[in-house]
Order: sequence, then structure tokens, then C-alpha cells
Amino acid sequence: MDLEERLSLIRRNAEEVVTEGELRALLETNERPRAYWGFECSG
Amino acid sequence: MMHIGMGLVCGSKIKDFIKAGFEFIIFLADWHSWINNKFGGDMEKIRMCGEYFKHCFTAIGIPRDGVRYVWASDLVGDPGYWEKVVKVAKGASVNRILRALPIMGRDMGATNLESAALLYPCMQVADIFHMGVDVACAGIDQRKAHMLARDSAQKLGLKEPICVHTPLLMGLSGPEKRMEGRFDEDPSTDLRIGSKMSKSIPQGSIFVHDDPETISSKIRGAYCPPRVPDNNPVMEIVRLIIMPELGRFDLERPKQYGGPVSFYEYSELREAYSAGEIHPLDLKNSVSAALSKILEPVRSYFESNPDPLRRMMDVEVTR
Repeated sequence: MDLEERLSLIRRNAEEVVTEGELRALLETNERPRAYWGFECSG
Repeated sequence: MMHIGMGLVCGSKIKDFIKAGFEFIIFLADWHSWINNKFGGDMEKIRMCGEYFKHCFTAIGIPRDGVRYVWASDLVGDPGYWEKVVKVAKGASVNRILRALPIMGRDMGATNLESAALLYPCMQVADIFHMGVDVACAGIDQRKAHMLARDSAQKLGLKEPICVHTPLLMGLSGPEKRMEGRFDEDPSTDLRIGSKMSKSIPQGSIFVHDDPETISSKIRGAYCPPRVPDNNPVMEIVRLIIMPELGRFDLERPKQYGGPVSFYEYSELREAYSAGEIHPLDLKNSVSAALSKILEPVRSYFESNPDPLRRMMDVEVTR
């Protein structure tokens, strides 16, 4: 998958990216970056 | 229980990250839930809920071997983790930490907090540093905690996390008007945080394992003013869930009112709805049908795997 496709997947429906420039730089230099989402366990 | 805001808005973003080649960590914040008095602070129930979340995400189409699950409990045994918590706390004023707290669903002005609440944002920031994440994802209501993480990273000479924030799915009862400035200084963010879909209001939430009849009945009761597409929870489900998941929205409509029509861009649907070309009842019926289709794999997963859901429901009842 090329850079622009990866970028547009991440941006899709996102309300904001802080920052777009940093995201692009990350994807340019790292094939397998690490992301996380934390969830509280609540019923 | 897991509602579609978490399962489908967060879930489909996680799928996007995995497709884009990321290593993705789903962090199950058991200690944070304890601090926030979830399940009365009962760690056994909190962990059971985390296990149930894993099943929900698997059922939604995030395979177990495609993500890494990490519990807060996995981090807290390491003194290096607490060193980061203390460093974050030393670098930020009490006021700054308090401002990062509405993530816990509490008011900005609350003064009667347990002192442990101050640990919460510091741990949230330390989690990011300790796991070495490049990108932190969350709903837009967690923005302040993430900005704290970026500022702390600068002060401590650590990698600043890139932040991706998703919109909040509105509860089915629509925008909740209340005292302004409760969660955020910005009026529109404040309204959205106060109106988000919440597990504590069952009729306002659709759960990932609801059956088609339950989905239809909840959607039928949803706030959906004619010709008003914004702050309309039924339209929001199309924009944030149906369009991204299915790539289209099929509107069923009686022949005399124009017959069935398919939309491939949300903007076209928005325009038609604003112009009064779509009746709220037709919209609701079509949204129920699409949601039932999207959630079908989750229902069949829990049909052949009923235990995690049953255990969760038992806890809900005895709570």
C-alpha cells in the first residue's frame, strides 16, 4: 500500500490529526509504527 | 456493555490502522477503571468486562492475532512505569491535571473528587510513553489528556505522540441541553461530550449484540427531526458507521414518495434530507436494516460463544 493510501485510511472520518505533518513523516520513515487506543472497562 | 460508538466507530478506525500497517495495541485500562470506580471498583468484574471487550472486538472483525491486548495491570509491576507517572505529575500543575479529567465523565468544575482521580491523567500519559506508541487514538473527548501527553513529552525529552481523534457518536435521544461549560470551554465540543452515546442510558444506546427487533425499536424511538441533518443521531449513524462500513446507504422508500435510492456520498444524503425529500420514518427503517446487517456477525459470534456475554449480563443485573 502506498503512502497516500495509508494516510487516507488513517484520516478517514477522523475529527482531527495532531499533526498531519508528523503523521506523514512517521509513515514515510516507519513501515510498522505502533498505535494504541485505551478503553476503560465499564459496563 | 459495548455500544456501537465503541464497537463500530472505534472498531472501524482500529481496522484502518491495521490495514495501514500499524502494530495496534488495544489497551484495557483496568487500573484506570478502578480509579474511576467502575463496577464499584471491583477488579474482578472490571477484568471480566475487559475479557468481554476482547470477544466483542474479535466478533466485529478484529482478529486476535491482528492486535496486541495490553492490560494496565501488565505495566504497573514495573518501577519504570511509576517513575514516568511521577515525572508527568511533577511537570504539570494541579489545574492542568484537573482540566484533563473530563475524560472520566466528570464535570470540569467538580471539587469533590477522590484524590486518586489526579493519578488518572498522569497514568494515561505514562501509558503512552511506557508502551512507546507513535500514535495515540481516542475520541475527541480525550483531547486534553493527549495534549498533556504532548507537552509532557517535550518537557521530559520523550517522543511526542501523534494524536488521532475520532468524532463521538451521539446518543439516540439527541443533543442534551444542559448547563454550558460542563465538559469543555468550547460550546460545540461541550454539547457533543454531554450528548455522546452512553451505556448508562440503555434506550439511547445500541449494543453490538442487539438483535434486529431491538435495533428497530430503539431507532424508531430515536430523535430524528425532519429536514435537520445535523445533531441528528440517526443521520450520524449513517455518516459515522454505515457509510464507512458498507460504502453506501440504501434507502427504502414507498414508490409514491420516490421509491428506493442508494447514496454513495454522505453529502448527497444530507442534501436530500435537508430538502425534505426523505421522510424520517423511511430513514429510520433503512438505518435499522443496515445496522442489523453490519452487526449480524456479532450476533452469530455470541450465539456460538454465549458465555462471555452471559457473564457480563449477570454482572449488569447484580450491579
